[in-house]
Amino acid sequence: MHLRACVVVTGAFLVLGPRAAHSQGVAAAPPPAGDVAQAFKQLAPAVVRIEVRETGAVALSSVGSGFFAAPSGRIVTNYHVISRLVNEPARHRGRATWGSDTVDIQVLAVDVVHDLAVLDAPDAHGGAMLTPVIASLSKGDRVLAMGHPRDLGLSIIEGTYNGQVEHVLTPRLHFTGPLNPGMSGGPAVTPAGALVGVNVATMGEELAFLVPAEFVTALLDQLPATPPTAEALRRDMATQLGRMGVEALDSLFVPGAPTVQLGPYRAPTEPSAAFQCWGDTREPKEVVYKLVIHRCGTDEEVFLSETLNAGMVYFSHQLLDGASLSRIRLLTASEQAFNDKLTFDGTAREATRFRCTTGNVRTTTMTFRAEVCARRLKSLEGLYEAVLRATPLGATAHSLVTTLTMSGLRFDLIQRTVARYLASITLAPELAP
Amino acid sequence: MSWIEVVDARGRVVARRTAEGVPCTLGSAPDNTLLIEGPDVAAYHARIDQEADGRLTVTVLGQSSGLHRPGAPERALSLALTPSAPVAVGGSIIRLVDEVTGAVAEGAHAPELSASRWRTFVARRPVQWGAAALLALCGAAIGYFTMPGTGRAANALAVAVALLLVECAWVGLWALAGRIRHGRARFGQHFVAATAIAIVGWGVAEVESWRQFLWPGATAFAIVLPAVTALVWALAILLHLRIMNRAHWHRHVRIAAGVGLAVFFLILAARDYRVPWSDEVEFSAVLKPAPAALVPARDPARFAASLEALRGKLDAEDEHQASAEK
Repeated sequence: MHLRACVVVTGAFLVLGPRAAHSQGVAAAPPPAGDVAQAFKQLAPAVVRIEVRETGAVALSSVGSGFFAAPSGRIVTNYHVISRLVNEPARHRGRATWGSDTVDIQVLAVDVVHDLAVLDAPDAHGGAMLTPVIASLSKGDRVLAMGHPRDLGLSIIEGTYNGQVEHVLTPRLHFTGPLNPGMSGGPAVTPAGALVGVNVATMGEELAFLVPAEFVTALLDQLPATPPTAEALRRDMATQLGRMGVEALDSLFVPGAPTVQLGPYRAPTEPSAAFQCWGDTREPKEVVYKLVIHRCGTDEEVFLSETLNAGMVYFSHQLLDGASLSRIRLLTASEQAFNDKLTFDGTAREATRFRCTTGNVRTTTMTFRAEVCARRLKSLEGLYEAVLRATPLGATAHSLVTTLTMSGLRFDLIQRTVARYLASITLAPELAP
Repeated sequence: MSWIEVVDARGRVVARRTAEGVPCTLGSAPDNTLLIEGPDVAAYHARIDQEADGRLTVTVLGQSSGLHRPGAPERALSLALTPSAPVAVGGSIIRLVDEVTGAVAEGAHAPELSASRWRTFVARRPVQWGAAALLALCGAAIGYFTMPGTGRAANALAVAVALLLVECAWVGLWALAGRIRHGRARFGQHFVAATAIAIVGWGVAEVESWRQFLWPGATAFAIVLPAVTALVWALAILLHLRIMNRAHWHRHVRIAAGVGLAVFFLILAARDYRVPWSDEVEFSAVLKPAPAALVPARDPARFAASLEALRGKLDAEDEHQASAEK
């Protein structure tokens, strides 16, 4: 989604593959001698290199990292490292390597919301195990991260813990350190060896993110005895995303939620702490109206595949301030703004095409022209992506075009949110009938 | 060299061509070889042929009011044209002028004649020029009153010129086809027909766009509007064929009816056409200057409930694909 790029700042994932992001390489501060080297020696047997190979080309599809965790034979990594084993299991095989040992792996469980996966490696013998311990950290504490950066061999880097990331629906830890592609799924630990989290993404400039260790513990507590089928894993992922959507959205846009005044309208803004809003006022030379833009969203996305992300909610308002325009010219400008195309992620294999429904909607203060376009995520049963676009009718000097985008949600939640969102846009009290 | 001249009621030579240029036609239609105006003059009034012995003969075509000698009331269907025996058509005289006498050559070559012909050209096509002016006016109004960009005059000019160019290109194809098929282009007549069709077509589209604005989900117009559109196209084809060739009325009606039906079914089929998969969302807002209170609308909860049909379509699409894959 091109529009998403304006608000989503989660960063590039750290898997090394054909589409791996290149982070800005910044040299790490030289580690103090002694404890880092000792930590490396202690942890190295627990950290594995994970590769996924495409069986047709017999070549690598992705390379990442992981680590052994209790019980024995279980490897924790990021979901995005092994997503191909879930999405296209017939064409891909996974293997884990540590030291001189290599074993085949199968996916045992996935927490798609937090980008975690547990792999089953029944033939794995030996190797240390990292037991997740919820470490109590303060900002500025030293954290060591391990993995296989760019598949160059097992490495350890030193960085700083900087607390929880703000403006997200799912918790992430802010790690300041030079994480690189290939380190995804590797462990981040305290110098004493307690697991802090799992390497997951970077934005370059040593701005990196970890999945908190508590979610590793939660996932390890729910492991099935045997690896489920890919279809069962996808069903489970759909359930997780559906549950996340309800938690994130069902309390938004309710009466009394925060609104912002744009011209004569009041429209939703920062509906929860997870949202952040950005704005700008433009006066394009080629038109004779002012354009006020107000965009809100969460700083995250949920990885589903190399071509599809979900779990995002954002909305934007465009106010066309055209006091000098005649009503018909303002209508034409509003129509053009309304009919601006949006581009989404995904392929025909992953989602249906968009279908739209249009209607006129009357709230207590206004009448809207509203259009909802939606598509179904084929691989995640019962989940949809939808866009609501609406504009108040009868505008004279100001026109508002608002867009609400929801991704990876159950349809009943989309319906409820659409109704609440439209009802939350009102005329400013002094202008209301 | 001999010349055939047309002299109007005021004694002015208004058209001239060499006698070697026969056969040629005369009448009030602009594509005649010799243009003649007058209430009794048919569009294609008569034809001038050269007989085997070299004499020229004027022969009546179709439903014209006939020919006569100047000053003689008797009507005839065919008259010889000689230097001493001119032929009268309506209020004009057709005469054969011997180059040796040069009786009227002086006036015929005067510059005023060209100017006169140009003025005549304009004056004789009031409908055609009116159509062009109407089209340009519509374009200018659209550009001036609806486009939100700066430079309203430039918008008006741009849309007016664009409309004229598009219509000229469209009509040019008709004229070319007429020229190839029947030897007559008749650009002006086609232009009038095209303008009328464009305005009627715009009217049909406007009705549909108001329908989309007021009742976006209504299906009552699903059959009516394609039928009206098809009718407009059928009439357009009919008009085109009638202008090109006035004969074969029944055949033209059949062709137009066939085209109309084809358009009707094509529009119906297009409604069910499965658009190829795309990662883009295309919106289709139609906004009209109508009081919001008068627009039929539902409350947000009922609108949200109506999305269930959208969900049904999305689910059915998956089922359709699954069965196709099996």
